[in-house]
Amino acid sequence: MELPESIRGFIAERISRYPNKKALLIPALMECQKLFGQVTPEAAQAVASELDLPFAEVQSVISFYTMLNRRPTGEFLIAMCGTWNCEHGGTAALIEHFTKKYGVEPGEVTKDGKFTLLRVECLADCHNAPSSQFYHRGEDFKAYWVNNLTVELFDQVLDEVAAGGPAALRERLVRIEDKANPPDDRRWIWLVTTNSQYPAWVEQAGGEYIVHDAYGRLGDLKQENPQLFAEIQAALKG
Amino acid sequence: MAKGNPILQNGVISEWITPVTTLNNELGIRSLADYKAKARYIPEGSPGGYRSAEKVYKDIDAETIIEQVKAAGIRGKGGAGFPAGLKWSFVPKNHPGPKYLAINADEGEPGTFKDRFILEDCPHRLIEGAMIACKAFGAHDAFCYIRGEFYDAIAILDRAVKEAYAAGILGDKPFGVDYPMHFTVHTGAGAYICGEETSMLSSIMGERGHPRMKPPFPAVEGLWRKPTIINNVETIATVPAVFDAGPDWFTRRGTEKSPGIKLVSVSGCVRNPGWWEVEYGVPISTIIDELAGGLKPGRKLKAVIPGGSSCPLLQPAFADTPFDYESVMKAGSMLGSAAMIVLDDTVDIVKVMHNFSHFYAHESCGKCTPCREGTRWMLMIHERILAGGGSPADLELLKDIVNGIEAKSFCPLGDAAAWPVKSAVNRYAEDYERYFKAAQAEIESTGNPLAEAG
Ligand SMILES: Cc1cc2nc3c(=O)[nH]c(=O)nc-3n(C[C@H](O)[C@H](O)[C@H](O)COP(=O)(O)O)c2cc1C
Ligand code: SF4
Ligand code: FES
Repeated sequence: MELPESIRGFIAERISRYPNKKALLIPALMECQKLFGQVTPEAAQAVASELDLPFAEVQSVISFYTMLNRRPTGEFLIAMCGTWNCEHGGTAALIEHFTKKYGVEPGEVTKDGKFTLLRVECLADCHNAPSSQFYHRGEDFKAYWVNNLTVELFDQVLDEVAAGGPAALRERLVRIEDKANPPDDRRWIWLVTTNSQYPAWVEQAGGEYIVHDAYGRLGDLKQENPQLFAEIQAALKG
Repeated sequence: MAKGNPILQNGVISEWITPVTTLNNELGIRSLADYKAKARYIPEGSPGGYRSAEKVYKDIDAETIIEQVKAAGIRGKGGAGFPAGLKWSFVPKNHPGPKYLAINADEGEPGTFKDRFILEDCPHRLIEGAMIACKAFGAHDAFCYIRGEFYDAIAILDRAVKEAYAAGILGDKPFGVDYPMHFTVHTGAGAYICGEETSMLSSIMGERGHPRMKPPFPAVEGLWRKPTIINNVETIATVPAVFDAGPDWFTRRGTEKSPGIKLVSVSGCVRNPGWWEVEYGVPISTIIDELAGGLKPGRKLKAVIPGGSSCPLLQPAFADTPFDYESVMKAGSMLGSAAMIVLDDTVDIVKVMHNFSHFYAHESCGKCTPCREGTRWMLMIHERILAGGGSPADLELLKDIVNGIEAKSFCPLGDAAAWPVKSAVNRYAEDYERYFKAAQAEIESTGNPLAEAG
């Protein structure tokens, strides 16, 4: 197999920064992983030729790194964190739900080819436990955080993603709580979504609630994620 | 501002503001234009990013840079707390080069989530810090090793680097000064051990992430056997403020030995988990109660892990310990990466240790026997205890295994695996004993099948 043009471009763009080609081995293998959802022996061979490395050396490196898969994965690879914060938040129930729903074990591909779930270690997203990332392979590879999960929400996300593709991985509302120790008289909430937990304050204008999140991450919700906007409106009214 | 206060002086805004990343009331400063227009170095300073690097490139020589960073007392934020300026001074001055800066963005220590937000919300602050650090010890190339899972951070930093090149900030003549400066984003592929500095170098060079023997220390022989400085993302992101606000801004804050500020990430059994920037020396209880919203109603504190999963558990009696390297050490733990994991009275310490042992057994690189075998044994013993097969002898057995790993492993991952378990069996033995009693009761109620068979 020829190394795909995009990966050759990736290597060519960076090679001048390094004293040798070998330095790009792991980034190049990650590009294969993103494209194919795994690093096939053919892809490993192609990377080895491109970087002038022995095939065995490339295989030995692949076997060391957990993000480089040597088995086929589904269209979406779900990296589900099982380290303590997430385990405490309910990872085991999420994994059990997945295995029952699809009749496959972690690491296997669901029959419809859509999903593979892997239990991984801490994703540095511990405040959003239980946390996961969904990876959508291909030229337009993208990773999505899906965290603060409950079994019901996970089930819903899986169904909607299976039917609607990556667009269904939009940020969703999980719950709204009061922020502990509000700093002033404004209405402070603790907004929990499938992307993050935000301190935020709310104002009412023109019959709707406007949410200002402290991290400046939500942006113009009404434009960018009208469903989340609607979910927040409903929750704040209720 | 009084010593030992969380940075709260701008009302709530500064509660989650991260002075290191933006020092501004606006987060999400991702573009160069925004960084130049809006980013402040200290909350009370005036806006204007890249001002520090420009000043340093035009007017400040290498020795003065190191002196200033030493004077500010900036300590490494990745775990060990080693003074940054001192580390930089270890690079041989007469070395012909090339020399390298390798920025550690592996952020793998369970409980740690802070570097991610510097990368995502203020990438130019990191680039600016890297430029200053490189000039301090004569490097022209910075590599930022980002863990593979941080796809967003990688894309955002990559874009910021491109912008900086296009604007002539990076490249052959930064700010028109003849000091070429290159910055490269390099991805990992999922291995906690690659956060250990010498493993990270192996990984950047395209190898399995195995640690290397020290000495030679990386400052003398690192990447491609050239002098290499390894610093955490937050350490590097702290540097630019020194050249705007001056070293005293840091030494006026925190404690004498741990001056300045630190990002903490708080997770576990708190109402509002998240990350904040605090002065060193703030009591642990203040961070838990005032920043993270305290425990859930009706719960009691059981343990605090102050610096990520590698650190010993602290009992509630130590909740008021000032959060600085020396005080936390004195209390019997470590500040580590300032990843505070809070455990309340509903948490079973045996399950926590089972989980941690799973982590270290999975992440052990396998190079040395004490860690490779010891972490597996710790996992299997915890599995057996949880399955109802524990006996009081297991406490001694665990202590024995800990003793076989601690200070006998090739790299600090072994210690990191052993310390939490050591503290758990010593400080929370009653949690283990509950399992042993249950196991004993089970045997007594069903009879011992082995005895009957005999
Ligand atoms: C097993 C292990 C994992 C580590 N992981 C990280 C990490 O993810 N990020 C980090 O900055 N330092 C990590 N460290 C610490 C680094 O080895 C090193 O001390 C640090 O990056 C130096 O930077 P600093 O002086 O700026 O803190 C780790 C150390 C060990 C032993
Ligand atoms: S202690 Fe030994 S086996 Fe464990 S990670 Fe370090 S070198 Fe590898
Ligand atoms: S423990 Fe799951 S993201 Fe850190």
